[in-house]
Amino acid sequence: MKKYLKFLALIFVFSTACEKEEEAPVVSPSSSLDLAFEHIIDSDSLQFDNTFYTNAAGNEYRVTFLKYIISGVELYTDGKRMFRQNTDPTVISARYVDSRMAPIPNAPLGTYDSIAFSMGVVPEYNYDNAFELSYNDLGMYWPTSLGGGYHFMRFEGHWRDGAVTGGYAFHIGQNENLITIGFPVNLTITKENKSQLTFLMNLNEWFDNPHFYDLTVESGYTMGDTIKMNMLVENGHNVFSLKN
Amino acid sequence: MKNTETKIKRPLVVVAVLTLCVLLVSAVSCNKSTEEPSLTPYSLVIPDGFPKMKIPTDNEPYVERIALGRKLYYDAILSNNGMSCSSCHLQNLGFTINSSSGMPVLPHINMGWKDKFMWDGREQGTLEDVMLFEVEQFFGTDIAKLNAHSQYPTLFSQAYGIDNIKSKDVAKALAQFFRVLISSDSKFDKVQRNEAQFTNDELQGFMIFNSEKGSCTHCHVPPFFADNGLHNIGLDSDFSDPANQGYFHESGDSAHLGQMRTPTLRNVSLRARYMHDGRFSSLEDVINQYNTGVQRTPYLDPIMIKSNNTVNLNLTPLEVSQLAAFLRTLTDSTFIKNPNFSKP
Repeated sequence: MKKYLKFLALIFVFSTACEKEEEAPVVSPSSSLDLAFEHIIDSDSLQFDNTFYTNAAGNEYRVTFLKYIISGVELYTDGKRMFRQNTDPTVISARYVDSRMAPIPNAPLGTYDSIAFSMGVVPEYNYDNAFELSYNDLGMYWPTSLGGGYHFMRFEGHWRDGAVTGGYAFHIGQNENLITIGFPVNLTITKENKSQLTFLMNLNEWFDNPHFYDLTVESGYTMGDTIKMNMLVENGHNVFSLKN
Repeated sequence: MKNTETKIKRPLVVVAVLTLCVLLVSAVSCNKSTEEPSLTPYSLVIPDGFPKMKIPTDNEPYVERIALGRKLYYDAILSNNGMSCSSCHLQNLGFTINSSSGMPVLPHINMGWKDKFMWDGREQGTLEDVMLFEVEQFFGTDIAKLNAHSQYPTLFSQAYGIDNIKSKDVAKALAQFFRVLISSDSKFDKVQRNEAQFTNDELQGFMIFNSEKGSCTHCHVPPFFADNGLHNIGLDSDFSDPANQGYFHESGDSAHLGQMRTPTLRNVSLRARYMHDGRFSSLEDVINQYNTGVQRTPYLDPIMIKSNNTVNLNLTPLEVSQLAAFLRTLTDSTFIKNPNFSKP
């Protein structure tokens, strides 16, 4: 409950700030901020391929693929939006240590008390070829015939439950499924030091909160399935936490 | 006192540093003029919609280097059995060959963007890295033959400013030629550029390709019609034959059993055999494998399992033919006839 209240309070702060449409004061010069991402299953660090984890429904699952895109980073002070990212979104590839960082090169110097970002691609970048993907990330394009743009997330693997086995491919995309989340922070960006915030993605939350996702009941394949995708989007608001 | 000394010495230090810099720059320039060859810059044109190509800074493209790589590509001097790269990579077939047996040869198309090579993805790195593998391990090139050749020492000296050819130099020259083998002028590309139109069947096939009905585009992603990835697409349920084990060979991880690299579909209709072991001989056979023959194993790529928990596409015969019609639009006639890529 506390978690929800905190979340609602943050959303209120962010939405109020947007409604006011106050121009952010000029803050200069710019420095840099890195958002780092780590992937966990409750208290365990994610191991790809052969390690099975247990979700809330008791399904055992393993992860073979996890990529998602981070965009629309915003910094706030006292409810005022001081900065919004205007650089290309970043693909986070959980498998590779050097692909788990979203650099925000032009974050202005200053002190901020909250941050928001989107898991997915904010609408101003979510159309075909709005930003370039490397060959290894081409699979993050969203099919043109399904609206184009980019996959917000591809989370794939296999599951088993007793003698029953299957695969899951949690794919999220399209503007209405953007997951925007905010966190209170104590962040000071200085000229001298690069700042970094580390966020944890708890994969078990994709299966649990608020929607219980039992792979023996629900299909694990979400492309073209609005209902399943909506369940994931709502769960997606609870998968990230700020690492202390 | 200390401060005074510093004040007096500072201009001297600045002059000394500047002098050193000038001397250093002159020395580097002088060195460059004697050691670096004079080369003709080559502007690599990246087609619209293609990502940037990463090129190592020590192997920037130049006309002379590309010409050298092209000469080597067609020269049996690389091997000890009369074979050259072009023996198995024929331009008129999209730089592959239609052999009747053995593992089908992957085409040399748009290789400049890749960092995983071979069917099972065991070679990874830059083009220079995989070319070094080809020179040293695949061909076992006798470098002494190149150094004793009537032309190559001069050509390498002109292109790379070296007197003694080494394997890595041959690899670098070959990589230069591979980077220019860009295919982007098929009917599909022309349709994208509004220079041509699909027939109705091709258009229907394109829709199937891109939709969940065919779900082809998850791995065969335009513009390369590949994803540089490794997948088990359900060809087999028994992996006792090492030829079918895929990336497991490299990783030793059972999760990778049957994972093969996604081949590009560009010029796919020019090929006579499909899959890593050439088990199919027509595009329709390949589509029918996805349609009815996918083997469900614990290693099957999750992307192959559909929302209704089935693994087969269940396309109608008409849809199969339409999908094949679309795949035939990926033939790039300009590429396979480009005189700049032929034997010099």
